[in-house]
Amino acid sequence: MSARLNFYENAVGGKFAKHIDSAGKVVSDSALPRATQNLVMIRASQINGCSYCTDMHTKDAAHEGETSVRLNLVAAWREATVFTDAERAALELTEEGTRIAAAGVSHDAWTNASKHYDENQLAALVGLIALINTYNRMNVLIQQPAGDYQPGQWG
Amino acid sequence: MDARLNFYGNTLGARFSQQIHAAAAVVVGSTLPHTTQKLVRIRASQINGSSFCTGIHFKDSLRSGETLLRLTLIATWREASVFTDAERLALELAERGTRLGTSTCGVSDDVWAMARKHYDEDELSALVSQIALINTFNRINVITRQRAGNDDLVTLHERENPTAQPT
Repeated sequence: MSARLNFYENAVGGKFAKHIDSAGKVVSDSALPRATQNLVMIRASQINGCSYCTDMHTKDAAHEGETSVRLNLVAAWREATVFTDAERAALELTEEGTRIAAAGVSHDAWTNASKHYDENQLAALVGLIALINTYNRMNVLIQQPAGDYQPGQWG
Repeated sequence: MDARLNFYGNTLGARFSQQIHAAAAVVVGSTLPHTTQKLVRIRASQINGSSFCTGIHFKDSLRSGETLLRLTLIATWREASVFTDAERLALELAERGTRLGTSTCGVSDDVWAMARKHYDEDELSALVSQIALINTFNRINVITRQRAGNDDLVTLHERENPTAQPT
């Protein structure tokens, strides 16, 4: 199985991806907790059916110390007892922020997130949700094969 | 009603925005026809319900000479006779690439194969990039409820050509 387009090696795709990666660094260097960033990226990738991103971010999270119980329950976090209130707020914002075509993002989801995150963390959360949805689309459109990712592979 | 968060005014938001605008410049500088880029931006923004993005790209397209008829029919392009085959494929890709997680994921092999007939690898890479990126902007603006319809809405054209007079 191989990708249907050599996107990342293509001159246009490669340059595009470089700037998306730079945008990603702005978020990953932010005060939004790393564990929360991973949960957000995994949940969005699951919703969007992006194999590559789900593989990468699940493995990265495990490598950084995330537990298998919490990783297993990201897909069904609402009845799970293993996430903090702040994480639940981030996950709710992620789901609504990913599924914006359905009904935008509700007042409740935003207000809840605002209770747990300051302005900078909220900006990082918005940026991260937007960005993981970008990566998901790049990889789903080109059918990027998944399963071989190793943490640290991209430096 | 104000936006929920002054994303672009926030230091992190501004730095983030700078990078995604740099990504946008890569698409703009590609060989994918600008008309097609704009159709894709509008269609995705309509699907995602982004007022701000729909407004700004509609205005941009009008200023670039796009017809009101074609702009009106983007939302219902399938039965419209006013788009080229290449544009129709771009719109199909835009819809499929935007609606992940709600229906069949991604683009079927048949549609992809047809897209390859109309677009070379650079153009297809630009198309994938454009679809992904408009979804980025849509989310920032929808999540933070950026308002649309302002008289002082700066178009992409004006932002990219700060010394040029609006056409």
